[in-house]
Amino acid sequence: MTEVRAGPTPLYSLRGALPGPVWRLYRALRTVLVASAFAGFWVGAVLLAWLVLPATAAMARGEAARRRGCQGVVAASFRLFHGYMRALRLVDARRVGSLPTSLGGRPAVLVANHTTLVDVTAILSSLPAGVCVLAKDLYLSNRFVGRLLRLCGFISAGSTLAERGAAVDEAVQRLGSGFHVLVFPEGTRSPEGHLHRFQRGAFEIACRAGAPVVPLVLRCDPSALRRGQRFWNQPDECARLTIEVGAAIDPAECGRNSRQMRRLVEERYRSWLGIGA
Amino acid sequence: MNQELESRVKELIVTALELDDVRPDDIDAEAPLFGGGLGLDSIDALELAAAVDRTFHVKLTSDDGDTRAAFRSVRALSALIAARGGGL
Repeated sequence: MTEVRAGPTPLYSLRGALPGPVWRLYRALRTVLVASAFAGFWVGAVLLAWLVLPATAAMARGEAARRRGCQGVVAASFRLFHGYMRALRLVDARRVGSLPTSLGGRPAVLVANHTTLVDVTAILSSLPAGVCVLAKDLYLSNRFVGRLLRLCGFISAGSTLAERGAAVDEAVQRLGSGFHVLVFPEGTRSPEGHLHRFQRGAFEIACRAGAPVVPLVLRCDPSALRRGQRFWNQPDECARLTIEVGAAIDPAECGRNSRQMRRLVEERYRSWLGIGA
Repeated sequence: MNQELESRVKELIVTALELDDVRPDDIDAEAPLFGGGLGLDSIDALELAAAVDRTFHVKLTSDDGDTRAAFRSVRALSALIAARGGGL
């Protein structure tokens, strides 16, 4: 798999590049542009879920093929979404490195720290179809995007004890049918400059399925679209979101013990990101 | 309150959840088990429910209000086990 995009170093700040009045106009328009990206996302999601994906799903045979078909369409749409945000100099997301060749096509549990609101769209747009995401139930039951996410095989993390257990089982099944499973072990977006304690679910899934964990290290500079950060309060500069793909970790390295694996991976993230415990 | 049962529950939590760095006596009977306090997660909750079933023959698998209340603290969990006739 090759890197999705490589090109000339883009201009991250238009401040010096644009004539003063044009810059001020762009700056004034920026909130409107951010809002247009949000609106485009929601309208696009509704159109996809009710018009495009049902047709995609109807053409495929079998549940796995339906999911993969929908994932392909949605990944392409997310590339469009990110292309728009990049063109407006809002967020420039890029992947560094590829899924390890050592996987040899074996499905893996992809884990990621969670920097921005658009991490999921950025990750899915930079990888080929075949990734199921473990997500908060509130997204799956959302009336606008829920349908799209379910068609793409998103797994609800659930809220009750039984649902949490079922989510692990479901994720293990997905790995068994050849899908990667993406999990944010913090369960929500990271606080600025810190990490929440990693939860064990992702590693429990990996240990039970015997699937490797592939860490995706996300960095966003300047910080943008964080939890609690309002869309009208974004940096003037284009946010650079990089998705660095790390080396796969086999559960056998941790004796297939999800506690040990949780600890190991969280420690690695803390050292990669320079964040103390 | 049943001190002995609470001690057994604390012991169970430490052994079932492999909390190497915690001694049973260190656990505050009224402190929240999840989120803060011991920092247990949802997988721990599943394992703890299974361990309670094995040890006390009390099922916490259903997501009724009782189960949620029982996972609030050692004291609440012990009270539920006692109320359901476990730990005898």
